[in-house]
Amino acid sequence: MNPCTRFHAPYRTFALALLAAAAFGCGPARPKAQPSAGVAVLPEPYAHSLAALGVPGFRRAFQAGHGSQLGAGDAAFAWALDGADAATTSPVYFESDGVPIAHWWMTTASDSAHFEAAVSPVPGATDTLLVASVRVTVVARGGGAALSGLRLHVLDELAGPHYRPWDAIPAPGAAWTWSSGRATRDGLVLGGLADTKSWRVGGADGDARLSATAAAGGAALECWLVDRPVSESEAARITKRLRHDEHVARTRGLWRDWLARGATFETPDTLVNQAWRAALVTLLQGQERSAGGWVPIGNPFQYRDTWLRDGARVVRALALAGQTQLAREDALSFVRYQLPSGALLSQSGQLDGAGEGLWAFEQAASLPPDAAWSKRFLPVALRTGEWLRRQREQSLALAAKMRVDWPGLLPFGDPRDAELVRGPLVGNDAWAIAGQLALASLAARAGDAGAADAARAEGESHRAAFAAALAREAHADVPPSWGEGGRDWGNCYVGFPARVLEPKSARLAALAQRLWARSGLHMVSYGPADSLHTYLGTDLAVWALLADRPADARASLADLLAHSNSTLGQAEIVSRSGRGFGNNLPPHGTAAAQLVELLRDMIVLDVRDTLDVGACADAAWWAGTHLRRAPTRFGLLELSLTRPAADRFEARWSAPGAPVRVRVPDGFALVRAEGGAADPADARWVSCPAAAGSVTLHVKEAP
Amino acid sequence: MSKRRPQAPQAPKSAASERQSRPANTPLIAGAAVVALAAAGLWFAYFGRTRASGTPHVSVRADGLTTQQMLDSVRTHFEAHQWDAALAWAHASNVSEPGNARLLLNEALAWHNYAQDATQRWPGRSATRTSLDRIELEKHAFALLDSAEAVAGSDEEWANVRRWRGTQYEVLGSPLDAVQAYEEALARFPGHRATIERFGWLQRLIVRPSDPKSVTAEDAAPRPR
Repeated sequence: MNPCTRFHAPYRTFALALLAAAAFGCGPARPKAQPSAGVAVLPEPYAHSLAALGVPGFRRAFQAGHGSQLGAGDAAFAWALDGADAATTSPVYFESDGVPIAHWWMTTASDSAHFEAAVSPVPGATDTLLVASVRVTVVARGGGAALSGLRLHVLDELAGPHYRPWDAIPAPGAAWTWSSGRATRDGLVLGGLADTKSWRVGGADGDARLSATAAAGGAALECWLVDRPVSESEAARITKRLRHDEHVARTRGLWRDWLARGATFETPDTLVNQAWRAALVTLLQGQERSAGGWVPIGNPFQYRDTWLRDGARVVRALALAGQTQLAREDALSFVRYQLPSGALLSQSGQLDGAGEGLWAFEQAASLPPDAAWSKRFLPVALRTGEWLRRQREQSLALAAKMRVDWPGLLPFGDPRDAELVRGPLVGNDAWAIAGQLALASLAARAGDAGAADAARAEGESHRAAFAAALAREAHADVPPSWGEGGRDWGNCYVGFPARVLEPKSARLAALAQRLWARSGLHMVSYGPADSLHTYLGTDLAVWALLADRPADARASLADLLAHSNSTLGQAEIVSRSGRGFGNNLPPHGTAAAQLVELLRDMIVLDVRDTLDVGACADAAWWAGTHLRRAPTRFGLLELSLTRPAADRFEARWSAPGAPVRVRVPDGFALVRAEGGAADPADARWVSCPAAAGSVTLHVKEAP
Repeated sequence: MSKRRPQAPQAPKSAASERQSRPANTPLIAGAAVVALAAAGLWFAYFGRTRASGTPHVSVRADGLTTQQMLDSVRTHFEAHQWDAALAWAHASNVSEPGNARLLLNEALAWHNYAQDATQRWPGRSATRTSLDRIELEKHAFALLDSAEAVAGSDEEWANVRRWRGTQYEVLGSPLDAVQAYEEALARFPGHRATIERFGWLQRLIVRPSDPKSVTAEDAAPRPR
């Protein structure tokens, strides 16, 4: 942070602009045509329908909805139909292939107005600026000429649930005015009308809001907004270069390109496929650039910050989805959290960050396995591992001098987060154990056998201390803290991903039973039973797969999808009765990450020493499930699950030398297996030799 | 922040443009223009005016002031929770009198406070947008504490700096790192009163972390000496 050697930003920008102009010329390229995949019209279970329109690498996102409005923080456009007594606005939808171009409709008894909003940068304009282009098409529902006119309002901020970015100009600001068809305030432009001839602009209307009106029934009406106010000259550049159809094509191309970089995930369930892509869109929108690298943020609106506890899950989800480079760069950003003591800490008192950071390094370096990246992470990881070891050692040493209730475990933490307690937290220890074992794998892959052995020994020693503490606790399952109460949080991670206890542990089963019973669903309530948490329970679903309770995992997925919004995003917490999420806006990055985790694990689970195929045991998914270029700990996987006959399931894969187990779908009993043999301990699993590439399960309906 | 680079522009292929014939020297002129633009860009990149662009943007006029006067300004701004101004004065005092452990300690505390609690533009908004920013500043504060310890003139001064290192770890929520720092401070200067008091609070927290009567590290945020 030495402030003495930095270039003054405007000069640097100017210099770079000159260089860029010299290198690339000044004219923007016309984007390739990108036909629409259609609009995915899905139910909206939340009380408010809104969607995030962002782009990886940018620091603002537009909010579309609730209702017919769009804004990015400093101001907003809202639309109404003139001449209509009552108009109904639909939820916001994305396109069927996951592209986050927002579509919604306003309808009256006579007319229907379709809104299409695409967000991306405009070539030739400032490259850190996002521009939303909106086209409104009004038609008569019964044919003929539409009766309703369209009114556009300029608002200081969005109505209903929304979040104002930290650097937004405080509202209310000065009055907005129209200048050459551009909404202007204090010499800065928020947006404008694409075709000023179609619009009649006026001053503030009865509500003292700036507005413009247009007659319906003519050509499509277009307007644009920027993610933050810009100068008149920048607005002129945008106006000159922005064409709605090109902007839509550019946005589709951008997103299709991003999504195509990862693994292919296809099941016979189109909703599941859309959920996968929607989750990836959320994860990608939650990527910012910092210090030359990528960093994962919590969500596009109110959580534009990084938490190790969330970021680690994003790293694994991106790695699972084949966004390998992004996952590795995200994990690399965690190195910046290392304190001189070796701790990895993103937020004060969140000691779980150390274990999560180690775990994330290992995920990034092992999906697929990469010795070079393992070596790159190892020096930082070793310092954190040593810090964790020293913490436990210090707690034992301190216990010799004063009262320490839980010697051999991590000290108390004050995370000021969902745990709602200051105390020694079970989740901190669980993540520390997972972190040491991840460090052992990382070191082994990097070729440092000594460090691997040491980390494994420390992890197992910590696990033994954990087990002893659990035995001391007067608690039926797994408590949130060691003797200090608090809300269920870190204890939900003990079964997965920390895997501190065996999957068949009665305590884990009791924990899941208690939490599911409280919500009445296969989800977890946070605080009041009515408040459903959308990602806290997902790890219980993955634990259920590990415990070979696939029906519980399937029920968890069904409940989660039923509580996802019309763009298949998830609020962090949603009221079951009121369906509201307050100002904790969707989509939440960790919910998206854990949805990716669950979906992938339901098809193939690779956290043990075998590749477990078809773990969700859903016969319906055998009717054509395909994974391509899917990273696993054993390498890149190509997998297909098919059902060529009613009594036959066939799995084909190419995985480099992985021992494979295949789950017989629920509702069926194995008659015989070609290419494998029934597991003597459990006939619901078929074991295949490492060299195998396929197996056919001959089955009959289970009694 | 750098984004996806726009695609390289394609020359328009309209019939009109294809019909146009170019003068023979056009490529030379275009090439010269490209070279000139690149040269201008490089000139600005290497010789353009520079300016300090650290996070705080408060500038102070320290000409003719004594170190003590600057410290008074640090104290005044600390007490007013004006962390950016306090930081600017703390830095100015170190420029004025390099190698002074007490001044380095003050600047370390100023960076720490700025990271934790600064409000730069409007009330309620942190100057540090993300946790990455905050931890970078905290690490800068730790580095200044290293420097302060290295130039400490006595065991007591060293112990005082080490004590603040412990408190910084405490505020960051790592109590055993704080314990280690307090123990090291007391090993070097056993009677260091501030360390003894702070360590006492921390020991109480370790015994009863959820005791509502326990004073947290946040309650005891660093103040200047």
